[in-house]
Amino acid sequence: LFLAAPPKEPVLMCRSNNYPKGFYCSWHLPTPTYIPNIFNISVIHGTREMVCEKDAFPKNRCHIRYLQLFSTVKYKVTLTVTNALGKNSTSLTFDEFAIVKPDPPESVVAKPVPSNPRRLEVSWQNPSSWPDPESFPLKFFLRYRPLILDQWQHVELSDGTSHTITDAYAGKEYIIQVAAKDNDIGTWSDWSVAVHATPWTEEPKHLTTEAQLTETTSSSTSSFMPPPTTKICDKGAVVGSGAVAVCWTAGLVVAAYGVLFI
Amino acid sequence: GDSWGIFTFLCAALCQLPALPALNCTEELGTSQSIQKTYDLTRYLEHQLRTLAGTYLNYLGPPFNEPDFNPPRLARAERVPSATVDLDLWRGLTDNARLAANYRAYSRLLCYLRALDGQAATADLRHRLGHFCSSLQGLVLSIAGVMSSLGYPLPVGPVGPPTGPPSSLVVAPNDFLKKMDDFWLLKELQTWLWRSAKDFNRLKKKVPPAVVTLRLEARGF
Repeated sequence: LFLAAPPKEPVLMCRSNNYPKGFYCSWHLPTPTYIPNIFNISVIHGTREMVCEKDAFPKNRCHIRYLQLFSTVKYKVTLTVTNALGKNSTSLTFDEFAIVKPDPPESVVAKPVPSNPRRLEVSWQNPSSWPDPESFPLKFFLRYRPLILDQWQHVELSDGTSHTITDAYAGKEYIIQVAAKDNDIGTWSDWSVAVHATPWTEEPKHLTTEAQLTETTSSSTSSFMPPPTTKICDKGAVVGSGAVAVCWTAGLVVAAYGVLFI
Repeated sequence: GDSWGIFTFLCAALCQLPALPALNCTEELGTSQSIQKTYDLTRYLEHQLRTLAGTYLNYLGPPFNEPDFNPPRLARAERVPSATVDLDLWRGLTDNARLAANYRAYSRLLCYLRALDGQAATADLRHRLGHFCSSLQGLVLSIAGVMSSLGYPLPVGPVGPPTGPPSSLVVAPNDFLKKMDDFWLLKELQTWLWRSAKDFNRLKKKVPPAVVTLRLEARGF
């Protein structure tokens, strides 16, 4: 026997995974009410009220198309939930640029490179939900580690959908993931599905030398935070020659340690 | 009337950018590199602006420094061309139009920022604004350089807003409205910097180095 309840404050999330087409909002109740609830969503942009079209699936989701790009005025989304016992609401206010978060890269493939015991070739594709990678290019973040170790290595790539790892430990199975982000705005996607690969070996797997392993495990750990955490430097960091290093991210520290390993 | 009438007049009079010196660096800097440099500058400025805007909005005080502050746009004359644009229109812009829009916008924005700098109450703000204005001027010149190397004429005429007889200063400016103007100026600047990254991304793709060489030869450079 369950007790019917008025709705608690709903949880609302809005995101643009298909910039510049538009964005979607999805919601849910933190605790069940055990009776039917009606959700009403309103989107206001400046003085204009926009219609958020409900999706057939999944439920509790609606999408909206941008009428204009590069807007200075924020969007305000208000969600109201009502049932027989009461109502509750929540709202979000955001800039067009702040909610951009692509879906993870797709079709991640990692392969050994023949005759190269320390290399792995990784390739992937832009998420299919991203409508215009030509005009709105994505940049990528690759992370990889041998299964036997906990510490990830990271590479940020501003161009292209492939990368060759050149410092893999011979004969060790690796786990690899990729994340995507609009080149200039928004936040990193979630990590892609993980792929596994082992570098080419001439014979059946041989043990890595004790020296290699101790060198790895005794290295000091840098305080690296995974890219999906929004960092002020992500938006400002410029990749490419002649770029001005405007900030120092922990990722650069790890890259420096990575260089020491090679 | 308000003091903004004075400022707009002053901007029109003072903000005539000097004629661009002949670019002899096209031999060293291909156009695609100039575009890349301009793109990098917009990213740098966007980052700088975050600190500057944070400081300035704190100086203005609440509600301007509240993160959810979302005021309606008052029906005052648009001082700066807005970055906001219809998607298809933006996509269809010619390279010339795209560059010219950026050039005009930043020239105007630079002008207004300089005016802001002139009135800033604290030395810290003046220092920050001054530094930002220098960088912004660098961006304007960089855009002009790209336009010049592609053979596009710089937008003519005063880069300030349309002139008119300066309004009298008899009525003291409304302090709140003045702060609102400052708020929108910074917002417009921020949005333009976001947009420019996309504009220059597009230009980067459309101007490969090989094409530039051909164009230069055709013009007998």
